[in-house]
Amino acid sequence: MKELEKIYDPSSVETRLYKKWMDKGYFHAEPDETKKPFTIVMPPPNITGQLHMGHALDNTLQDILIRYKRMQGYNALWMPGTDHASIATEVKIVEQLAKEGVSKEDLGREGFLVKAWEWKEQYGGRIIDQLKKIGSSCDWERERFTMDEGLSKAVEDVFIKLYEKGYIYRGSRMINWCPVCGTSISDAEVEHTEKEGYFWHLRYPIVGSDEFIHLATTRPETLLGDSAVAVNPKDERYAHLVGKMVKLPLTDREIPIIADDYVDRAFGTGVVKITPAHDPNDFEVGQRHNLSQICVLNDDGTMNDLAGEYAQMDRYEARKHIVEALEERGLLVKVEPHTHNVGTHDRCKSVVEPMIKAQWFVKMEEMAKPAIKALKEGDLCFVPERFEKTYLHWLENIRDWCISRQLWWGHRIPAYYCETCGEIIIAREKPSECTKCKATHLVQDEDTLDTWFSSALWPFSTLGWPDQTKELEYFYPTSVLVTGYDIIFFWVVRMVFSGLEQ
Amino acid sequence: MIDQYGADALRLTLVTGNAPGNDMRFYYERVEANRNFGNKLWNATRFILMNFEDEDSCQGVSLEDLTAADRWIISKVNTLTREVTDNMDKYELGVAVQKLYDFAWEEFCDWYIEMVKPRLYNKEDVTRKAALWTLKTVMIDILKMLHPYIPFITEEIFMGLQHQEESIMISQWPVFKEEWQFISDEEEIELIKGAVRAVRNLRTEMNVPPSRKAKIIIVSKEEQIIDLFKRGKVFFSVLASASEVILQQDTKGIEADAVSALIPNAVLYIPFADLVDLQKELERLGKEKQKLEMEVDRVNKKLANEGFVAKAPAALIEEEKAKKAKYEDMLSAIVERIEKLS
Repeated sequence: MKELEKIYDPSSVETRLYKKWMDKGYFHAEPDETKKPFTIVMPPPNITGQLHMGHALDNTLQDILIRYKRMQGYNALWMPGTDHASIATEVKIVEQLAKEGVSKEDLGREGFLVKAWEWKEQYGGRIIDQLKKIGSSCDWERERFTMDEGLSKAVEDVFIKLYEKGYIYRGSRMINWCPVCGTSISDAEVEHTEKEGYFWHLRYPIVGSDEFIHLATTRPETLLGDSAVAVNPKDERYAHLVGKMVKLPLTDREIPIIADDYVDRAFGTGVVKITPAHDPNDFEVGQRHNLSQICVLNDDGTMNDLAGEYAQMDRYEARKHIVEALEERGLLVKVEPHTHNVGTHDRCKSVVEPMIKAQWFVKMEEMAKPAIKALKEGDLCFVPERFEKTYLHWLENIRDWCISRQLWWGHRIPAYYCETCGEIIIAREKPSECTKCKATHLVQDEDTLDTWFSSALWPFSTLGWPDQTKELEYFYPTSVLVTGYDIIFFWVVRMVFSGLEQ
Repeated sequence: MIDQYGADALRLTLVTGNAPGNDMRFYYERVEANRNFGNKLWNATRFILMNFEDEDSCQGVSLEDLTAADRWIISKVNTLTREVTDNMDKYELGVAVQKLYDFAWEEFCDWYIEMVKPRLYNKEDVTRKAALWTLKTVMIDILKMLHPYIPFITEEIFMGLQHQEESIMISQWPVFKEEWQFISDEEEIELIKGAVRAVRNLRTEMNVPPSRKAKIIIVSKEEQIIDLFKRGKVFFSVLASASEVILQQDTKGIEADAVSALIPNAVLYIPFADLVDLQKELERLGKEKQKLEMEVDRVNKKLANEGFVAKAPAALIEEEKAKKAKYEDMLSAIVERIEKLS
């Protein structure tokens, strides 16, 4: 009989055995009709750095399941890969460049992308090594990256397909804008946190009378962008004022008093100022009443030229000056402490600005329906079950998904604009001429896609889709997904509806 | 972390003690404890291999050759296989590994290996081969079910324990077998385990060192129980420091000072003198008695001293009085004990 060493030495044994398993090809799976498939697709770790304990846990759980099923005789495939992680990686690279005294703009788009690929080579490999170190029995021969050729083709295909179906559109919409990162972010990336703030009670003079109308706001600096004052139509206190005009303080504009059901009679004075360009609810009210959208902020969070003497001031600096000016004019009634929910960017924690921007969107209503049905009919289930609620809540209250990002690292949007007639052409490659006016000056959209757009396709794009490969036919749909509950709506929901759409 | 303790220890720590969906808390000490579990399996296998002369040492064993203890552990590992598979199918990965851990450590290493040692050490024992077969068979099933959790050490041990298969990774997951279910053997061994635990508890309470052997008398009116312990006699000498095991239907001949414990359908006695050396104990008690008498005497003299009582603070006097009461109580307990023993 063979003797075991007196002392077990993990480090030498682990290296030797992992090599044995790799050399013997135990991790590799090929479609085989005589065996039942069992597939797990690895949630691709971001190439932003090191594996953390959460990754170690997730991947251990996946490895346990895949090894178990493999021993039970299944043809077990664990599909590995990494995610380009658009914004997370770009932020890190920008930080690294800053240390060298270089900005993104100094390098230009092409130069920046060269740096980004270097980053990928350096850090993507490190994560893979760590996964191997903990014993992950992935099919490394099939390793993929969200930005490699095949997956990028899948992204373009889905974009084009959804555009042709009318599910992708370009529109001016209220989006969440991060003034620090200089990009739009999705609803899912906004964290709502309770913050101490104030209610500034103001009064606006009514034109042609000595009366004032009393209202409260948490953001006095947006006053410069007001285009109406609103009351509830059933509120008798203000019925006589509806239709009259108020003189907007600190400006020479007169704006109407309107009636809209959105206003809560019982909240505060029952009067609200309407700033369609800087608040999502006000945006809706503005749409209903055909109000102008007056944007007073620059992309970096400073006031713009429409803010007159406050132009170029930071939003919070302007707030101080505006409150002082109102007080001098006797228009500040009182200041009341008030705790309210503020949206912040989950990556940089700065306060998000609702802004109106031309962005690309995916219409969600139709796509959400089959994903809801799939859960209700038991086509997929969650362990533990309580997370079904998270899933359903997100899908049942879904808003259109803003998919464009003002970033460079990612899949560039396959949209081309004719500089002559403004026609938008969606195409895989840059067209040689405008389909409408035949002009030859076309420029590609500067923006890239939300990082979750490509990860939403991960379970099938990694198996070769859109080509109908034998792997896709055999191993898809996958069997189990092991992931963190914090990304159910970012990722899981989107994989489900993307999968069902194909 | 991996460099110091190995990937297996880290993996085991990550998956234990966490229900799915809960945030994970991480403990450094647990990694070390889990590395020790790996070492336990390693050492158990080294022990098993030490008793194999060659690969054929357990060839040709069939279920009929097994003893009750073998059938007990086989039946146990069979039930464990069903439960673990069921837990894993429900994604209760932490529950499954906890069961494997407990089984490997307690039932297999602490009980079964100890139980079979006399058979292994006696080369003439006709059931020795069955013991070797059972050790190897159960160990392999444990390793296979642990493999998904701790892939490296299980592969290394598996490759040392057998030569038919090239890797545990592609070996077959154990399945539940009807013919491996031995309900009555399970009950029998569990009863013996209960009795062994009762003896161990008695000995611990009385501070008896394991080296001191004692007679065990088991009294039961039920013939079945008597038979059962007759078959299990050997375990008491290995597991419970028994000098001999006597089985009888009544308490005839059992001294009044014997210590006892209740077990299902039987009472277990150990003669007091077996646990404690009477002469030595009396000597010790005598010395103790002398010491206490001196103390009581000292306190009494102090309290009888008028000068002390008049000058000393009240608290100090109270303290001396309390001492007196304490020593007197201890002394009377010793006297009582000496009377009882002599």
